[in-house]
Amino acid sequence: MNGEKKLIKKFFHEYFKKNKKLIKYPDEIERREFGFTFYQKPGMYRHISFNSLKELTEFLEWNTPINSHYSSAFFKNPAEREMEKKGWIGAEIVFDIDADHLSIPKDAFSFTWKCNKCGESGFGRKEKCSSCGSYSTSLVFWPNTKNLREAKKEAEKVLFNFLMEDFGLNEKDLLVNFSGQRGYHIHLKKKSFYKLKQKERREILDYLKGVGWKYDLWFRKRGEVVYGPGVFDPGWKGIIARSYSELLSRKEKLTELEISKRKIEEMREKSSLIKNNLQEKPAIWSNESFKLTKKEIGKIVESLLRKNRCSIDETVALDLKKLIRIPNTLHGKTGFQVKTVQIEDLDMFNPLKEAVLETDESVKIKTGIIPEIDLKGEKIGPYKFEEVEVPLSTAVLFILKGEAKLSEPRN
Amino acid sequence: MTSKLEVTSELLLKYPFTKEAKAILRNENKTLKEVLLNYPEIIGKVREKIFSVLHGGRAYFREEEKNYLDFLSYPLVLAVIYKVNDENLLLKFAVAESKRLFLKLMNEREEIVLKMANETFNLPVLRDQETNWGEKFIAKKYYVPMEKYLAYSKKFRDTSWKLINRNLMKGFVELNKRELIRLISEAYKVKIIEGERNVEVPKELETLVSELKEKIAREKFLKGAKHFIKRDKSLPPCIQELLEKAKKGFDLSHVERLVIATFLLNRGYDIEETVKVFSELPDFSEEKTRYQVEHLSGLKGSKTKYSPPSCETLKAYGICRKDESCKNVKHPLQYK
Repeated sequence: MNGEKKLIKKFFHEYFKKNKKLIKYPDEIERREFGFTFYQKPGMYRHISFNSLKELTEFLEWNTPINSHYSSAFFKNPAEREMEKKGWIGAEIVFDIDADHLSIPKDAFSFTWKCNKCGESGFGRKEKCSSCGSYSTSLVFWPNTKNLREAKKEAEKVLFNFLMEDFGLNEKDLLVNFSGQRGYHIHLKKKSFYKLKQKERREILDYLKGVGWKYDLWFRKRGEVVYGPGVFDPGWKGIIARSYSELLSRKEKLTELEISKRKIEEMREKSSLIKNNLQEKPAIWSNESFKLTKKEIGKIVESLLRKNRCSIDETVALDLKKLIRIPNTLHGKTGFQVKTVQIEDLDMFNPLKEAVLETDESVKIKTGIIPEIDLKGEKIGPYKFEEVEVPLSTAVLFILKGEAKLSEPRN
Repeated sequence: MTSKLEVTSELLLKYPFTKEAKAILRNENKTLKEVLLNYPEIIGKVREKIFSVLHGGRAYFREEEKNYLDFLSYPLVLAVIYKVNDENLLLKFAVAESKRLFLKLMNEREEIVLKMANETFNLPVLRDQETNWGEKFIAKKYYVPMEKYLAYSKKFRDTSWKLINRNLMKGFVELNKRELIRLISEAYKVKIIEGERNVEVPKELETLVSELKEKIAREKFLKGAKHFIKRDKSLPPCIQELLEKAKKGFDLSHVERLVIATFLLNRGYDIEETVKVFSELPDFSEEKTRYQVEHLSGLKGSKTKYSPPSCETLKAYGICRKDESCKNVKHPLQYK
């Protein structure tokens, strides 16, 4: 066993040994399938089952998997290899919010690249090797405070605007975890939802993504007046009306609506009138003093839908037997904790502080290419083939990313 | 809603599938066997009912329960249909029953409707007086839990059933009377389709079971030979799937039917060929289908030939089955 492997194994072993009490999920453990991956071993070992949390935590301690997953589904026979024999009973719904899928500026991401052909590497995102011209490059994704902050905002939107408000779910129906690298997992843990199949889950997803609205079902015309969603309406209609009203209060933001400049100018002038109309019951969208065509209304609604919809990974939410990270285990590409966050603490939660393990030890390493990272409130790097001494958890991150080696062999 | 209801037996005669009705059946005639023993003429009734379902379900659909015999025949009809074990027949029966229930409930007292929803279909319904959102609505509104709503409305493809077009608050979906009853009828359909199929059929009805099996097999063979849809590589995956569903006699939604018809007409199928595609559907009526297909083809009505919806629209309806073969196609007719 080489030094790095020893170090990683020890790091994971110590964590699992000391933190058994943190592993509280999954519930109904005997109905779940488990899957694990191990350091420098290809493939996932799955179709594993446990009878108790104790069995699971002992397994973690002695086998030190670097990625630990359980099935969102409940099975009659979780260890069976074939799906038919497993006997699907139901499944949690998991919403995966991933910084990658959000429309945020590219400078909110940290990447390094490596050429698979000649071995050249560098900072940033490169599809073509600058040395040999090959298109076979691989990217390394590095944790970045900015995109994680955006992912958290998105998670809060999903939770507060939709799951808790519209779906009426409360804290005990929901489990929120930092995913360990680039986002959050929100588990919907209300039993009456477990039996929902793909079609129903697709509908939930469509709702969160703002898909399928229809003009005629939202607006109706009586004479010269067009009635539509008001700020007091429930569901999406209310979200759209409130978002519209908010833009009218902060007039410079009105350009987010993709309609003509002249119309926006008119909106600015009449903003308080329009806002009052949105408070009417039923709310008025167009009348003699402020006219909007059907096309303009359509464009306003579309712009507001885009602004307010959720970005959620579809495959995860639709998969009835997805393997998902076990809360409070460690992530195999970062060594960070897949940390459960209480909903009331989410606001203050900073994963690059709180999900990075506390270690007293420091380690001397030789680095590859590593961008600047904000870990535990300290700036680390950038490094380019340097010999440095860093805290153990930082060394673990670098080694797991394949960008560091130990300077000297350890015992 | 929770107040105890005096349920008259006349009412139960109308709804032989409810818990209370089943209890009466159990009390008066312990087993299906005993029903047959006491009322031998019921065999004719069962036979008549199933054959009318088999032949389009329309006659059955119009017929009203007239007497106790009709009531008693219900579990026997169901037992025979389960035993015959033909998905198409079962679906035809379920669709006909569900439509019948819809009409009955539209004229029913509210308390009966709500009680049935809750007790027979496990669908708790709140009325606006009982909800506590501070807002009163002008028209009478009902509220059902969203997870039940999703499960029962999943076959409805009209956009008005999409959650985004609904008032959804704190996990409850708002419905008007008609929509609530539509949902209950659908729940009934699902209950029939997903019901316990291992019902024992009394000896006296076994001849009927084998007669039906033979008849269905013969008709399938004849029909299969008549209009077999060629596997056509020029069909996009969404259309391919819809055609297969139609062939298997799935209860396709309005939109799905529209997509098939407009697509085929635009690809040069004639009226006759297009109508035939729908002939396996549980509620098939040749006359009605022909009228609609002619309308879509531009022969009738507005004289415009309709196009199928775009890929984006199909996606919104959940019909899209995009794969590599679709490349950058934005409209099903562009598919090559």
